[in-house]
Amino acid sequence: MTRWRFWRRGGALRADASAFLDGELTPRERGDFESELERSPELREYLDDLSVMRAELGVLREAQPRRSLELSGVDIAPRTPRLIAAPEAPAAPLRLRFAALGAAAAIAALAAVGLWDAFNLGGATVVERERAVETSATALLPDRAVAVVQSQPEQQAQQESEQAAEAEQWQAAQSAEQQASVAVYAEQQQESEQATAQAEQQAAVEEEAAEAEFAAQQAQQQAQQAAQADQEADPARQAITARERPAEDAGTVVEQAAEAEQQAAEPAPASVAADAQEADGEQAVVVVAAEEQQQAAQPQSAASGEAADQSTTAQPPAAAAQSEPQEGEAAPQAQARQIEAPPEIVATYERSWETPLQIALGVVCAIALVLLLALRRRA
Amino acid sequence: MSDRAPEQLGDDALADRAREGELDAFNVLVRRYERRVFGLCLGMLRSPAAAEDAAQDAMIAAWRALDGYRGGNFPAWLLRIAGNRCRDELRRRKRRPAASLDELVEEHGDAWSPPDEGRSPEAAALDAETGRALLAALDQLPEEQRQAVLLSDVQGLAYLEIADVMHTSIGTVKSRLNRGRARLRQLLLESGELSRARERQALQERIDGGVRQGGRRA
Repeated sequence: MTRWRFWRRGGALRADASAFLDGELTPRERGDFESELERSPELREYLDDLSVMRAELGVLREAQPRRSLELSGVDIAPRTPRLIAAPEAPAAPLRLRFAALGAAAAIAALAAVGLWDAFNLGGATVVERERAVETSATALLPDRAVAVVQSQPEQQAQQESEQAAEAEQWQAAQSAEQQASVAVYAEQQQESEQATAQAEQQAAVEEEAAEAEFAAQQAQQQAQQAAQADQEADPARQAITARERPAEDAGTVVEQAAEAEQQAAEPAPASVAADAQEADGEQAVVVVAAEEQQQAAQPQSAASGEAADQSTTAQPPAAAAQSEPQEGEAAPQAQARQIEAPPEIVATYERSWETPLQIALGVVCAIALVLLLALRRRA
Repeated sequence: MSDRAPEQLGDDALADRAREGELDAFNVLVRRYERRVFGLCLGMLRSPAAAEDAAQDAMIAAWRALDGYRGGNFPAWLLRIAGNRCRDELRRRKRRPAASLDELVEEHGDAWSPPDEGRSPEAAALDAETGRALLAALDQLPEEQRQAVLLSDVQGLAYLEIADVMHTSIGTVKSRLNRGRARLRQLLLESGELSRARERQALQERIDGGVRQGGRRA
């Protein structure tokens, strides 16, 4: 019964036992507890344990520091009671924590951007980029292409053969496109030059006709003036010359006008034919340059660099055509750009050296992040 | 200002002198309460070296904070500062858990032993063993319960003083003491230290009874 009562009211009785031991019970509480203590041996045992424990803890009462705690002048600084009494705010560690988190986030973002840029540049995969780099280097930049091909491991021989076949196909397509574009450009240039020459010739014929007409009018006026003078001097001779001279002058003028009309009616003078021959000659030069480029731009050959140089030297006719202020100027410029090397492939080749650098940058950033986290854990 | 020697002055008078810059007056207070402060720090931190550092820091902080002392109970005010220092040290240990305290104590021989003044070597060794067992058990109590048990059973403060030191109510002090003692009893029972302590006390009572009977016969 007493055990049951002790465990039923155990919490309250233990609290009372603790307070009874410390003398903190009121007289009424003390009387109740003492009556309960007489009935419950478990409560007496618990109280005895607390008494023993308290006596044992008295050992710590004898604790004495091994050195004196007295203060000396060194320990005393100018008193700043309010500052010293203030609780230590954890603001500095919190700021430090946020700063460390911010730095870690920045480094992680930098590493992520660098790695993404290295492995997924412009939406192309690494294999595609390597193929593009190798092809462009073979076609355009021979010395660097040799370096790129030499840097490929021997295990990728099969891939190299496939890449070479693709490069040949690509170069054939490029050469055909360039040849077609050069032919179209030459035709257009010839047509435009012929039209210009015809217009110039027609303008010259009209001008000559106008001059002949003006000369005929002047001769007629002179004849009239001479006839008047003769009539005043000798009416008989005047009558004779007045009948003969105008007839001669008029005949000369009529002959000149007839010749001018005949010249205007005739097609394509000799100068136009000469211009057309010059245009044909330029076209021939461009076509020959394109053919030489096609023949020389074979992959993995030493002459590929020369072909690339020739393809770039095929630009001057196109550039000269661009400098002429004629109609249809935009089309030759666009065709001339097609003759040049593809700009995206050159850009890919220029970025190819950045790939290992970006990977290294990403790895360094990742290592820095790990070190930062390790240091934070240690701190 | 009184012409009496500083040792004869009360706590508040010494605090007034110390507040005016008299370091000797403050050192009298230090000598008067350094054992109590060190005992609290030792019970809280378990390591004697750490307890000395915390007690020294508490003395320096008390000197600098003398303007905040309004009079009344100087030892309670001093123990409050020491308790805050110990809790700061415990929080610092939690942030930087380099090694367990048991390992540090064993490695550096930093185990506390009570002074053996006027006691036999056997009694001193027994007390040292008891003290270390008690410190190990106290180390497993929550901070608030440990501080309440130390302030009550080691420092002998009343509930009202403990409430003043711990900035809490008397009911909370009563609750913390009850739970802390129950937990400490359980720990000492499990380690067998409580039964050994009972035997030692029974033996001591027998010895004391024999000495008293011998004195009566003589």
